Amino acid sequence: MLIIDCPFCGPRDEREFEYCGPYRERRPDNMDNLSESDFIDYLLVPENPEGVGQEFWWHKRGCGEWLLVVRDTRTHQILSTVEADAE
Amino acid sequence: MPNKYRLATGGTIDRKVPIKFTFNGKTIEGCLGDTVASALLSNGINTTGRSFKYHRPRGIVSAGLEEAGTFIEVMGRKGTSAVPATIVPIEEGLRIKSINCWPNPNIDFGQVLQMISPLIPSGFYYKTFFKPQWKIFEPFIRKIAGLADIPESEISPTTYDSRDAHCEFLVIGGGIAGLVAALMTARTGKRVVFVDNHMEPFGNWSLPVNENASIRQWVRTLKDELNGYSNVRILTKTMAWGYREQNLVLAHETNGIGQSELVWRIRSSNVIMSTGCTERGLVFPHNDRPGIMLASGLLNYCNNYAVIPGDRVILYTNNNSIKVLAKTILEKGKEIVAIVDTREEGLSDYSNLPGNINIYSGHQVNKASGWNRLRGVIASPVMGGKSVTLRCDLLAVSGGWNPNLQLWFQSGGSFSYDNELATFVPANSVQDVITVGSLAGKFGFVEKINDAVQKISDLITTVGLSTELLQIPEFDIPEDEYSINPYWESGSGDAGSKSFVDLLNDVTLADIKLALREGYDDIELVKRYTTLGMGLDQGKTGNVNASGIISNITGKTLDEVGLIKYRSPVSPVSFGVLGKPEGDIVKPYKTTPITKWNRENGAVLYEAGANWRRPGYYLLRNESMMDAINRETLAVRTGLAIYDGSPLATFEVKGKDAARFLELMFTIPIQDIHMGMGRYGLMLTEEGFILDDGVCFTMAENWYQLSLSTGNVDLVHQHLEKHLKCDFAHMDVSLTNLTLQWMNATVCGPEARTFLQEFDTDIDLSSEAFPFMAIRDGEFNGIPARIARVSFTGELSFEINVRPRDLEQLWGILVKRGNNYGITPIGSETNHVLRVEKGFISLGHEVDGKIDPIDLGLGWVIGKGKKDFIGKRAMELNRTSKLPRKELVGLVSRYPNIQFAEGTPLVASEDHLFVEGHVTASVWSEINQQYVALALLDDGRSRMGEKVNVRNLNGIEPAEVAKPCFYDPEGTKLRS
Amino acid sequence: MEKYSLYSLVRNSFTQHRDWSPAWITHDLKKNYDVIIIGGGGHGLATAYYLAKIHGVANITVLERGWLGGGNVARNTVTIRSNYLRQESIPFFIKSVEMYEGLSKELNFNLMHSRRSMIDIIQTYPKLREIKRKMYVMDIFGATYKPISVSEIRRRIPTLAGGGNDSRLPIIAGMVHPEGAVNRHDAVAWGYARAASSLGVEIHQNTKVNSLLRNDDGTIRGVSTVKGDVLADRVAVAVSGHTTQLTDTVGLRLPLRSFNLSAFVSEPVKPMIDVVVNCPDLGVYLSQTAKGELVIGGAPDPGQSFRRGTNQLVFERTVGAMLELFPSFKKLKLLRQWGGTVDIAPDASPIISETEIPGLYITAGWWGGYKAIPAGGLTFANLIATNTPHQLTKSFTLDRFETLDYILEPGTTTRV
Repeated sequence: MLIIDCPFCGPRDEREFEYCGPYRERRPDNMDNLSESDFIDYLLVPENPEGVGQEFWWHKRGCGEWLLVVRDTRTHQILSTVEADAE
Repeated sequence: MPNKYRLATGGTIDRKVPIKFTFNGKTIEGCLGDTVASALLSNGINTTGRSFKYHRPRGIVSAGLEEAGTFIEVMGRKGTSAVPATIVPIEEGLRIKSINCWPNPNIDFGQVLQMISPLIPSGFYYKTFFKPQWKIFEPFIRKIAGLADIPESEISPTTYDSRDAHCEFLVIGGGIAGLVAALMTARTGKRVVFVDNHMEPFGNWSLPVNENASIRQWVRTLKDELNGYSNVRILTKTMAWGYREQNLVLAHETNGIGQSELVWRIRSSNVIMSTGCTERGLVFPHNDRPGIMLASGLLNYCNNYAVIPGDRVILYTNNNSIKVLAKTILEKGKEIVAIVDTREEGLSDYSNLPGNINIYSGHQVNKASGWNRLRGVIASPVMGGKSVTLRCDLLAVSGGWNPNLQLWFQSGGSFSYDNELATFVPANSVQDVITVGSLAGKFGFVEKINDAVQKISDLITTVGLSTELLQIPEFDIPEDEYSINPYWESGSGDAGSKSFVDLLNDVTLADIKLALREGYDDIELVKRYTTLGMGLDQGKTGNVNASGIISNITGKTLDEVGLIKYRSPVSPVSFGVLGKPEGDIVKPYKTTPITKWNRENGAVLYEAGANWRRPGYYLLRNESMMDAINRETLAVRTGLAIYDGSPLATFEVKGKDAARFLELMFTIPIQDIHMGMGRYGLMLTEEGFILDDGVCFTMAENWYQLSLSTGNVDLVHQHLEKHLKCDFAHMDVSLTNLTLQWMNATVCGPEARTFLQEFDTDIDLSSEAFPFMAIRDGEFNGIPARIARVSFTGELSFEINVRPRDLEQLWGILVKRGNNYGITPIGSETNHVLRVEKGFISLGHEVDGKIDPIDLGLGWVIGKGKKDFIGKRAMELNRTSKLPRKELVGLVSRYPNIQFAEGTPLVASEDHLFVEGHVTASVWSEINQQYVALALLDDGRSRMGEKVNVRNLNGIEPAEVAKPCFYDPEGTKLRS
Repeated sequence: MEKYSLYSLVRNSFTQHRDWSPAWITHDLKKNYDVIIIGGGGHGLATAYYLAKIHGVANITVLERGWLGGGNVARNTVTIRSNYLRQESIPFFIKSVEMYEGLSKELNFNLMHSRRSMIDIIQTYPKLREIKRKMYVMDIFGATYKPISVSEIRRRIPTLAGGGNDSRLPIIAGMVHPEGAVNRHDAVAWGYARAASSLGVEIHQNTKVNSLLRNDDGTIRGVSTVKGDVLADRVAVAVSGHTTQLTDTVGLRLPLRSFNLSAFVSEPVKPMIDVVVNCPDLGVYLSQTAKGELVIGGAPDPGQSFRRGTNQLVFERTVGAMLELFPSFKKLKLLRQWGGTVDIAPDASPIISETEIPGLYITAGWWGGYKAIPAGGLTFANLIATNTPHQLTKSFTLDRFETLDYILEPGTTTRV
């Protein structure tokens, strides 16, 4: 059971959040420009790090914001939490 | 004679309050403050249970949670499964039963197993019982295994609950080091939680150090000060049993057997672990005889319960900690027959003990004798030589002390072997946790205090806080350096004379040797092959001995051998207290405002996706389900009907880029949907498969409303949000889930317009002014309403959306005035029939995860010339596959009364083992007077009129492929 | 191989069991092998065994980073069944279940295989629909899945007191899968290891593979281990949750994500549940071991993971779900809990495939791969030996992802 430090609400319990998949690059503006193998790679091959990885969490039962959480997959310790679309 | 072994004075029990309970049907008298174990011991009951595998007589071996000898079952209202006898306080009338024996521990029929014990070494079951078949032997094995029966919980008074706590410092363990740590952290003013599994922290006033007045006084001042802090929460009788990520510690609080239980989820910035240490036993033949116990256990019984359960006491040790026990026993006026110490230097340790005690230094015990009760031991010099036989009825053993690493293991911390202490101690931490006191290998009283003071000061400084210095008085107590000579086993290790390493699971020295000999050479393999350390106690007193023994045999160092991994929980925790992460209700229902009306009008309600509970159909008197559905469908097709469409998912999308966003989310063009009109479309996953279907309405410029399926709302919401926040964050779009804000009553049937026009409304309901797929805001009978002309039934249909507070009123009026038309409320089963007749798709039926729009004949919803939408590229790629497409078709039989059951596969004519499709939905069509079905079939659309094979459990049923629409194919009714 | 039997047990008892020979032989690690199998778990050991037994490959080594069978074969809930939905899956799992039934005798090692039926408890209509669909398809291929009345469910599982008409999710139907079984997980690993070893397979524990090695022409060359390089023309990866950790070392990108799936056991109690109980609507399943412990499994942790641990929230929800149906288990106690790392493909179906690197083969994507060990080993061995997929696993190849031809088994997926 994680505590996620929402940049808008402060540290909150996992029960307020929903896990929404691993981080991926922003969707390409023109999908058709990708080669077939690049497209498959974009679509199906996520990072699967044994160590620090990034993933999306939705503060669904909180402020409703989307967060990018940096978490160590070996220990589940969270290293940072920022707004998902913070550029 | 009751309480034969109770000392006349001393202890923390109250001799004036006798308490009677029964043990295997026999009445036993103890007194207030006794545990079941101390009461049995004081009454001279030695054999208190039988062992798990060999059914050997067993007694009580400790005074705490580490107990590996005697587990009991409490019967009746406060019933438990197997619990250590050492932790159950006695109560008047409590009924206690031994485990692993029948009828009682003294005459146990299971004891026949001892006769075949040579045949059942570790792993014997892997080598036999598989011919002719395991199932012949299995019932017997299962029956003799298992400890207690599961207690009845219906009659139990126990209540369960859970709490969350947050703090800056969590101190686990209320020994002296924990107490010091709690006080020092309390002084920082930050939130402190202090957890201890005893009645009170450092409450064991009978420990020898507490006989010292200055210590007593000092500890009292510490506790008084601690109690005065409002920032400190002291949880007594609370066992910390789990340690998870991010310093989440789980603790279990209870007032005793059958009392209320509470689980704490404590989240702390810093954890200070002072879980202390536990004495281990010594391994020698028949070291399990009743009357053999841990020295620490006996000391506890002496001091707390005033019990020394024997007349002739022998102490057997490999370290000098047993001196305290020797001194205590002598002070209580009991005789010590001998002390057997494996250390040569042992002699000097006992020089100032009074009286005439035979000290056998440099000796080991080779064997214990006796059966139901210890009769004596045979000892001989370690270096070899003449053995002596010593008679005794009580043997206290000490094999050294092990830090309680269970929680430390769970925190991810590493450990290493300490040669001086001959045990494993904590090494590096992974989380924000430190260890203090004897857990950290500091065994002396003053040493523990200094250790805690030093480490807590450092910790407080490290986290940027300050604290007042703790004044430590000079204590006048003799403290010897801990001296131990690790001695992992003695005596003959042959299979016949069993030397137990794990008492609870009956694992012997010979078993470990056998495992190693057979190639099970890793400690985890030894564990699994022999079941070592896998019992209820998780080997708290035996596991380190096992490591030592493996090291001896294999020649590996103890660091190489390691220690059996301790797993959560530290001690067993009841499921009752663990099952309430979100309160009492699992998956609460959602209901609509007319649920009461539904109940009063014969609705059959059940879960209908997304936790909504809604009517399947409405039963009138004497009707069958089929009758009801037929009546309801006919009402829709020929008259007037009404249904509660509130659970339908509703989203509002607003903003300058709303259309641009929706163009990407839907297959359909959005920009050209006229104001006040809607368009049916599909939403795909990026993998190109259908996620949901629904209607997108244009409410105004930059303002859209989506009406989608009920069941998928959470998934769709996440899908929309994810793309919005992660891909299209630069767009000016706001997305709001309005599912619970709009409730609706949907009025449908050929007479719907005529009926609704009777009401007072500012919305023109005529077909010219309000065409199919239009949406209008206004007032309906004085209620603010948003009315949409969408149809999931294939009939003229008006969806009247109102605020939740208005639905009951609206529904009431519609039903009341609709009586003249024979208005019929319908449920979801009827809706299902109607949509199948029309060939409308439904999630979970026609859409099964790998279906695209073209498969369903919905190619027209893909906007021509749309350059991009979510799933487009993938759908196109998937369509380059050589595999046939599963396409939506209708299926009919030559015989109107033949039903193709939903889910039945269609098999190829030439190969009945090849599945080429399946029936996705199948209903009785009252209007057509025949069964009709929808199916997904390989290349189905090009196979119209073909015969296919529906394969049900009885064989093949022929069917004819038809268009997937059985009612009003032109859609004139729908648009009327 | 020394024969195990009641007779040999009796004979050895006269010498106090001092003369049993090792179950497997230890060797020095060589420089070259014909086939290297990475992973000494169920699938790796079974593959080695069938390669030696059926295909006569002599020079095989199994490299295990820790101790034998210490991966997912030691961390699952031993649930064996063949109730699947897709024709691509069903025959494979039927084969696997059949093989398990005869395996104790074949390996001369008692796996304590207990065919005791699995009962699905159905509480919602969508689940009922899915389960019925399974029933019809399975019947074609000869697996059994029979409807069972609610009263019959309660008769067969007397402790199932929840799910009544007034409860949140009343039990509406049930399904019995008579082939459903449990057995002893350690025995499966040890039985295969012992049998493989007797056929000449070398098993090396504590031999972690750090990376794969390629030749200049792109073909596989061998592996780099903590004990040095070991070479072979054929390398097979059977490392359950850690597949991508190895394939990443040669730039092979696979559509796999790793998750932590945890399970727990209760204290041992007297026999009270004689079947495997599966409650898909609430997300919990359980069975009772020969020793009396209840083995209980639930959902995976949210988020990718290589941690073998327990997420408290997921765990408590599983317990809550169990108590909905088995209220009397409130007084039963949790004894041990643990987790394991599994990897999953986008369509939640297994991968047994060659790769774009000639000579490199993988078996991965096992979500509930314990039941698949015998057939998984058999078919993977066939692929390695012949370079052609076995008839039963021709849909399990990696090329299905090139055109998104998903197999897609419901009931096992995490779709985030």
